Parts: sequence; structure tokens; C-alpha cells
Amino acid sequence: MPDAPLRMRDPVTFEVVRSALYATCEEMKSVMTRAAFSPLLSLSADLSCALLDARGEVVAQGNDIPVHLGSMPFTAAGILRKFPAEEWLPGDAVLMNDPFAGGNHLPDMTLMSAIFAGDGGGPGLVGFAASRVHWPDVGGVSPGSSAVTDHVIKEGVRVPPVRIMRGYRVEQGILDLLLANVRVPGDRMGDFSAQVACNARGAARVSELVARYGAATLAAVMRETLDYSEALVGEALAGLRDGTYRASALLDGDGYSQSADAAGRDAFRLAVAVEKVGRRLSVDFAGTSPAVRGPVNAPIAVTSSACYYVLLAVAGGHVPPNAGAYRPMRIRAPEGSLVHARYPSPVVAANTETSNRLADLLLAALAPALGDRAVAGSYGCGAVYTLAGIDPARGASFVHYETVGGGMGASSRGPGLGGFRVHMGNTMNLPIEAMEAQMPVRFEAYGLRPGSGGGGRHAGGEGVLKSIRALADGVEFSVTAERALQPAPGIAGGGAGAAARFSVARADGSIATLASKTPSARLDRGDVLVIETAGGGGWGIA
Amino acid sequence: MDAELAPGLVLGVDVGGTFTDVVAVEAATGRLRLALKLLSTPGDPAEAVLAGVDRVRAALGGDVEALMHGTTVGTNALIEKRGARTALVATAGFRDVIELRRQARPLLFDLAQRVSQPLVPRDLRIEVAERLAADGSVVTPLQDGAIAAAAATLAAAKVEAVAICLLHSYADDRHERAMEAALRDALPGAFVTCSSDVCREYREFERFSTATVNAYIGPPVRRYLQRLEGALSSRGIARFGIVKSNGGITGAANAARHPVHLIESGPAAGLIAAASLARGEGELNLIAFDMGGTTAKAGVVLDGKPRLTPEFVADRFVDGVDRGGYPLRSPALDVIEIGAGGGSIAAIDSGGVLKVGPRSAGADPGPACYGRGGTLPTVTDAHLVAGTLDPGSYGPDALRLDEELARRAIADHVARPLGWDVERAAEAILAIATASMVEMVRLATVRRGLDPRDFALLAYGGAGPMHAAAIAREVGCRTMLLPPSPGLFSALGALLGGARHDIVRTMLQPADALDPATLAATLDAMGRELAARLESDRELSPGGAATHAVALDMRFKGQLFEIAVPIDRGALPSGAEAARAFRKAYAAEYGYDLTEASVEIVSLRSSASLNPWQAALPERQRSVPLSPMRRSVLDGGRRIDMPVVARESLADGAPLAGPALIVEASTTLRVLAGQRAVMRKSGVLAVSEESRDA
Repeated sequence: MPDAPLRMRDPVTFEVVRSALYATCEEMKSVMTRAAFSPLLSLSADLSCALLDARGEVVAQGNDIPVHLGSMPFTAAGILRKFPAEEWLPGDAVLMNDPFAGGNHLPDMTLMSAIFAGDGGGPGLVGFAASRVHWPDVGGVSPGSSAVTDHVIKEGVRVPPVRIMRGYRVEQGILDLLLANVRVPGDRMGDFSAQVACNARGAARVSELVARYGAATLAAVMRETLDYSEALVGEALAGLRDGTYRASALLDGDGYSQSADAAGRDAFRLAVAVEKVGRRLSVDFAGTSPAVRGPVNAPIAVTSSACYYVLLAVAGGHVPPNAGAYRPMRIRAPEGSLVHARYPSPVVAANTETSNRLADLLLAALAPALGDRAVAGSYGCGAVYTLAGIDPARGASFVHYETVGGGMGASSRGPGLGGFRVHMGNTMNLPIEAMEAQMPVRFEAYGLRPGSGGGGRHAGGEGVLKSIRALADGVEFSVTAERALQPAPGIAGGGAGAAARFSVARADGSIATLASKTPSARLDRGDVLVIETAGGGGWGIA
Repeated sequence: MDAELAPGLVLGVDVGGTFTDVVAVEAATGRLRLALKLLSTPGDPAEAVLAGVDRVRAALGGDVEALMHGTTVGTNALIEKRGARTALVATAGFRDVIELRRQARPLLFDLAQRVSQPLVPRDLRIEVAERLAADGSVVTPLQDGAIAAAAATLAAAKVEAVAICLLHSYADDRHERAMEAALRDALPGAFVTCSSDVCREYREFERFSTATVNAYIGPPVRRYLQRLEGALSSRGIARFGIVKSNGGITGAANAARHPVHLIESGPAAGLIAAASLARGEGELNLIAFDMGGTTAKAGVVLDGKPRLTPEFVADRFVDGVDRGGYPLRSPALDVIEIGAGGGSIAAIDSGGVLKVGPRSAGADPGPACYGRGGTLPTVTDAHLVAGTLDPGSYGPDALRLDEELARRAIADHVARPLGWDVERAAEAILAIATASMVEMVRLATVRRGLDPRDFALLAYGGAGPMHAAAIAREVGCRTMLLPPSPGLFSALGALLGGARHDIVRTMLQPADALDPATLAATLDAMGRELAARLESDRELSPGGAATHAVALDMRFKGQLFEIAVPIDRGALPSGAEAARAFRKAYAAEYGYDLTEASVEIVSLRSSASLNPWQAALPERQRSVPLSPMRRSVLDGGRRIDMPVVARESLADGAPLAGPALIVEASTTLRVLAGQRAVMRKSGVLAVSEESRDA
């Protein structure tokens, strides 16, 4: 059967090489987590690694954050548009973070390195190793680069695809220019070095596979790994009821106005129609509001990654993530809308906020097709808060960025989990004992919000309470979250989860309620920032 | 035999899920006198242990001087959720830390996933008003009234165990100790654990998780140890040691106080034996590979010593699915485990690709060929069809295997859907099972910055030797080794670990600021604590002075992962010297130094150990060389008439060229074409590629 696919002719070689590719992504990740500087990388694991074939198709990805996974194909395509595959030489690497050229948001910095089987250029190219890393600061108007602003240029330094390495040597001028525009450049230098080491490890492992099995076999495995994931997804889709399913929802707001205001009522609408026919799924966001002033606008890479996430979840969670898995899906999103941002819309919060609301939206739309596998709404965000200032006791500045978990939606299969990250993100929290050793703050509570999950036969997961007392004056903070105004809906008769709440209890006894997107504000000594994330929706009539 | 003249004995015991192994060696010489395999008694594991002791005494006479024991009592209580009714005392505002975990879900795309449940339900997690700062200073004092109220609540709740989990207790344990003293009075007989006592390191979730597991398994482990200790002492055996996760031995008193240190007791015993064999054979770098019914494990011996990890996760996989598990911050021998065993099920997935595991047929119904009602094809079924397994006698209970049932299962579920014949399907199943173990062995080394080509592969456990030579070839190990009596390996290992204790202290500071006087004083304090713990274990050792090892955990400032850099206790380094040693270790691990970055010390770790007993590997059984039998075995798509050689008939040093099978009571070693097996004088079988030297 010379024409049959390798996975039929020689399933053993296929499976051996395929699992080696996935194991390589995990190995790349372990190199980076252990060598990285940023707590976001080494403790929260806000990073992802991928191997691509010679055409730039993502073939294998680690068990990584979904918003990173799904946007990687766009990033690779953006890089290869500027640097076509045939122009790469051994030791070349390209850096980029531009959300309008395939990136997701400025803090996520992607490094893509060429992998050559032997020496020489052109035909020796077997693929690419890529790593995406959340840099805790990429400049912009405020520390942490996640502020509410009205322009992408205010969000930080924008890096279009640039060739940062040639022949294994760093283009020092480019790196110097970049590092001159970020806070704490020394740590970012360390993170960049870790990224280089991580990609080098990936390239070395793939070269070994070429030496062992030959370039032709590797290319066949890569090609068929894509086909294999495509087949698994198609098979799962075939089992769902055909039809067109619709849903819409409102975002809380963008930091400038809110969906509860008269002016904002129709400004924050997310609308979707999902058409399922046979082994294919088409998603159309027609009816979604135009892009807004604040940073909740999603670049197409972010919108697509939410769609891909839902596709993989619906397929049952066992499909190896890669570009082939995404083939059965078509995505249409009106340009210039909330779900297809164009320059110069600010986009930083879409990664953690809008993306999760989109995942909830798509799952709500698909509920009739999913039947007893449908799930209720979640807390719908990453609930990012930042702290920055000067620590008088240590005489040093600090910047802190952390996400907070919340409630997952319940389903017929059981209650929702409480206090976990959902959907598009999965970064860890930071130990309170580590943070208090590094910043002038004291945490006063970190726990679940009892009863905040939506009621029903299965309750939704509970939201989280986190309260933080400033021990010094002039601590700048921001909050970027969702579902303070639009709680998580229940399903099949289940109740909605409790809404999120954010406030500052001032040292003088006054309490200020905050919007779920609060641009930079200030805590003084004795003030307490109180974060309460939303509960998940319930399932079934109690 | 006259008891006066009979030499003193030391017993090593390994209690497994199915069998309890007991070995008896002479205390003075380490010579193996007797090995027993008994059926385990899961209801009361001590029963099988004591039966083994009695049988040894009846057979050999003589004093039993000591008994060393690898136990899974605590592990089983955790996995089966049969621990104590446990409460948790938390700093006000923080009772949910063990439930919130690190907020990351184990599975990315499963919308209805389950996560390991907190071992203490919310209504038994109570809060007390108190607070320390990161430097250990008191922000809110713990008042006597609050202590009394908490004690009264817990007394009324009739709890059997309590974990006291207060923030920053690693920096100062005074509040935890005050609470502990009150609870000991208020809850007589309860098992009370301070988080600062089980783990003196920052990171609240991991420390609280460790303390909670300790409390939860404390009462059942304590009951078991007390019962066994009493029964042994009534038989005149006063010295009783338990294997800890770190590979050391400790006495019943220490073990009952820190049962969480025993969670990896079973696998640790096997790795200790592997390290001992590594030193004996001069193969100092070894990958220890153990394959059983449901899982396979790989551990690393480096420079003759098992590699330690500072943290591991217990009870993480339930039926092969990641549930998150319970992180334990306690040094353990570093073992990677995957769901690939003899019982792993082969299936075609919806994408048309053949997969093996992680689902397992377990012991019940077991592989199809057991004839106990299993119809799904497993790795064991594939071995039977391939001819690597002899249907005649399988396992110590001499089960007869039914090849027809194996063929039918493989035909129905693998061969027919793929349009293949059964034999081709059987070989594919074996190749894929081997491939997943190859990845495991790679991860056990490369993830830790090691190159598997610098290692020999040691196989033990029932199913491992059938795959080991193929794994060794695939990952490029120089040699594959099979010890004599691979089934007794873990019981022997229990004898080979010396008493050992590890202590860690968080010491967050820039390396430059390291004050040698403070370092010396901290080490002295740690040394006193180690000495106290060792003192109660001294009788477990045949004698000799304690050896100490000290290391600083360091990182570049801003990083959150550390490297442990050993330091010389006799010549303590200055801050600059420590930083230099770190830079060197970092460059070796990652390939670059960061000259701009400053170096930070995170913690100081110190360990003390006593000499182990001696135990020699069993002497080889020898028999008259018989002319080898032959069996038809699948090899690369065709059947080969392969020699089947009894292990005891192999002559020292004479090579046996593959392909061949070497059989013994508990296992079969498959030697591939192009490899040769040589019986070493030590009784260890070594397999290497023809082109290299054995």
C-alpha cells in the first residue's frame, strides 16, 4: 500500500515520532519555566511552546494555555508573510508581539526559530520551534502593560516580526532598542535568554528525529499529525445535531463606559451564529458591536483561539492541539468590530477577558447541539489585577500582575468547580507568602465566596474573595475583570451565579465600589482592595 | 539449629498490592539466607509481614536483630480516602487555601472535570485570629481565648486529626506550637500536625497540603506501626525501621510523627536497591525501570546515588486521568510514572490510530488471556500471541494463560478494524507500549538535563524485562541490566537504606549578604534537630558515625526556581564563593550564565544519615546447562524459532547472542537480534549491542 498514509502503513513509526514531537514541546517548556525570571513564567507558567512544519503549520503544541495555543497559527502566518520560509537560514529567529500581524496582545512575545536538518539553507529547512511568553512588562503608560487606554501605542512597545537572530547570533541593536523601552530590562533579558535556550532545545530534538528517521518520514508524520487531529475533530462534530445556533451577550464595559449606562447599552454586544453541518462548523460574529474605546477589543487571533478552544472541548478534550484540528472550522468576524480589532484599537484585555466571554458565548449557543454535555456560564474572565509602586522598606520598585480564579459552570455531569481558572487561561496563582516577602502589602483574605455559585440540581462553582491591604502610600493598582454587570447564566433551569464585585475600603472607613475595568487608581497605607470574582451558573431545576 | 550458634538475621520486607516479599540476610555478612513470597493481606497488612517473620524463624532459627520495611499503608489510605476525620486550623481569612490549590485546572479542555477533593471538608476548616509577617514578626498575636475557642470547637467535632496551617509559620512557628500544645490537651489521642513541622519552607499551598496529608494518614499509619511494633517486640525484635520516600530508614516513632515522609516508601526501596547494584557493578549512572500491571516507573541513579526531588504529587492520576493530586513538599526519590503496564488496554481511537493505555484492565478482570471475563486486548495478551510469554506458568500463582482468548480480543478490537492479521496487531501493540515507555525514560533524564546515552538501564518488576532491551536500544543506553531475582529487589532495598533525615530552612537573601556566622549558627541548629531525629533511629543502624550533607538552594534574583548547590560543611563558603558555585551549576544546566544578574539564596538544606545494613544480591542458582528449548516468537513481521534459555543454566561470561529469550521464575528477558547477553560473575545479566562491549 505505497499510497496509503504512513499512519496506516506504519502506525508504530507514526505514533513514535508523533509522541516525540509532543514530548519535545513539554521539554521546551520545562527548559523555559526553570530558567525564566518572571514569576509569571516560572510560577504561573504563562507560556507555550510549539513545533511547526516547514510551511509554518503548527504541528505540535504543549499542554498549554488555550489562548496561546489557538493564536499560534496566526502568529506563525504573520511571521512567514514577512519572512517567507525559503529565506530562512540556520540560526535565524524572529521575534514579534504585534496584535495586528498575528499576535494576541503586546505582553505575549513570540520567538520563532528555524530548524535545519543539516547545514546549508533552503531545502534543509525541516520546520520551526516557537515559544510564546508573557513578559510582565513591555512598556506603555503603566507598569505591567495591562492598563486601560484608548490606543494600542499606549499599551507598550509594538514589535512587528523582526529578525532578532541571524546565524545563531543575537542582533544586539534590535534587542537593545527593545529593552530600552521596557521596565526592569535585566529580567527581560533573562526571559529572552530562556526563550532562546528553549527554542534551541526544540530544534536539537527535531534534528535528532531527522537523523534517526529521515526528513521524508518526519515530513510525513508532521503532515499526517495534522490530518489525524482533523479526523478526530470531524468525527466528534459528526455526532452533534446539525443546525444553526445563536447566542448574544453583553460585555461589562471597557473602562470608559459600561453596558449598564444608557450610552453603553448597545456598545458591548457580542453576537454569534454557529452553523453545524456534518463534520464542519461555521462561526459568524455578524451583529457584534464595533470596536470600543477601551482595551477589550479582540484581535482575530484571540477571537479564533476562543473558537478553537470550544472546538477542542466539544471534541472531548483528547484531540492533540494543532493546526489540523482547526481545519473543520470557518470563522467570520466583521473587521473593525469587537471581535476583529484593527489598528489602533487597544487590545490588551481581550486576551484574558473578552476571550473567556466568547468561549461562554459559543458554549451557550451550542447548548442545544451538545445536549447533556452542555455547560452553564463561567466567571468569564481572567480577573487580572496589578499592583505597582515603591517599597519604602526595601527601597525598590515593584510590579505585580496576577490573575484570580472563579466559578465554572455546572452541567448534567456535576457541579462546577469553584476557584479555578476557566476556558482560555490556566495560569497559577502566586503564593501569598512569596508576594508578601517582595511587596508592601498584606493579604487579608483568600478564599471561596460561599453560596456564590448559581443554584440548581448541580450548583455552579464558587467565585473567589481576595483582599489586599496596602502597607505603603502610593500603591498604583488596576483591575480588569468581567461579570460584575452580566452574571454567569445557568442552564436547563439552573440559576445564575453571583456577580463579581470590586471595591476599595479606605483607611478612613469609606468604601468605594469599582467597575470591573478600573484603570490605574491608588491605594494608600491602610486601604484594602477587595476582589470578588463571579460564581458559575447552575444546571437543572433544584 | 542451635539458636546460640545461628548467626543473627536482618529482615527486609516489601508489602505490595498482591504480594508481600520477605528476605532474610545474615547481619554480619549480608549473605541472603531465605526469600519468601506471601500473599498480601490488605485488610491488615501486618498479618502477612508477621507470617513471613514467623516462617523465617521457623526455617532458620537464630535471632532476628532487625526488620526493615517498605510500606504502602499511608499511600493506600490516601488513595482509597480511608484516612482520619481531619480538621484544619487556619489563619483567619485563609481556610480555603487547600481547596483553591494553585487555581490551575488539571485538564484544559474537559468541561466537566473533577479535581482531587480537599481532605478536610469546609465545615472542619476553622479560622483563628492571628497573623505573622513574612519575616516572622507578629502582626496579630494569637490570643489564649482564640486558642481555647478553637480547641473547644474541634473537641466537639470529634476529630481524629488536626493540621495546623498558619501563614508564614516557616519563618516562626510560635503560633503553630501554641495551638498544638492546646490541642494536645483538648484532644487526647488525636493526631496533631504543625505545617512548620512537616515542611519549613514558604509557599502556603504546598506546605498546607503536606501538613494536611500528614494529619489525614497519621492515625491509620500510627495504628499500623504500633500494632506491628508491638507484635515484633513480643517476638523479641526490638529494631524496626521503615523506608522513607527519601530512601532513608527511620524508626517507628519518627515514622508515626511524619507519615507523609513514607508516601513513596515502596518505590524508594526499589531505587535504593538499584543504587546499591549500580555501585556494586560499577555502573554508577543507571535508569531504574520497573513495570507492573497498571503502570511503569523510571527513576534515576546518578553517580551511584538515587536522585532526590524536593517535591512530588501524590494520588494525581485516577484511572489514568489527571486530577491534580496532593503536592507534598518533602524530599523523595525522583520517580516518573506512566499508565503503561501489562494490563494496559489497546484500542483504536476515533481517528483510526492504535493506542495503548492509559486505561488498564487491572487485576480484575485482567487481560483477556486470564480467562476471568476480560475481553479487551492488553499488552500481556499481545506478549502471549507474540510468543514472549509462556502460557504454561505465569506468576507465582501459576495461572494458565489462554492464548485463544488473547487472539480473539486482539482480532476483535485491533486486527479486524485495521484490516490486519492478529500477529501483526500483536506486534504493533507491543511496539507502541515500548514507545510510550521510551518517552518516559527520556523524560526521566532529559527533563532533568541528563543524557540517557550516559546511562545503563536496569529492569525489574514482572513485565519490565520483556521490553527493557528494546527500550535500551531506542534511547541509546549502553547496557541493559537484569538483577538476580528481580522480584525480590524491593525487599532487599529496604535493608540497604541507612537512617536518613532531611531538613530545609527558607533563608531568602542576596548571596552577597550571606553572613558566615549566621550560616554556621543556622547549620548548628539544624544539626541539633537532625541529631535528635537520628538519635532515635541509631539502633536501626549496624553502627558507625553519621554523615552529613549540606546544600544551598540558589537562583538568580527574580527567578522562582532554584538549583541546589552542595557546600562543604567543614569549610563554609563566603557569599561570593557560594554565588560562583551557583553560576557554574547554572551554566552547566542551561548553557549560559547571566553576568548582569545577582544571585540569591533561597534556602539551606541539610541531611544526616547513618550506615545501612549490608545485603548482598542473591547468589546465583546454577543448574546443569540443558540444551535450550526453542519457541516460535514474532520478530519484525515473521515468526522466528528462538532459543529459550533458563537463566540458571547460563555460564559466567559466555555470551548468548540474540534473538533469544532468557526465562526465570518470575519473568522473561527478551534479547534482540544484534544484542548479546552475558552473565556477570555477580549474577547480574548484562545485555549490550554486539558492536559494543558488555
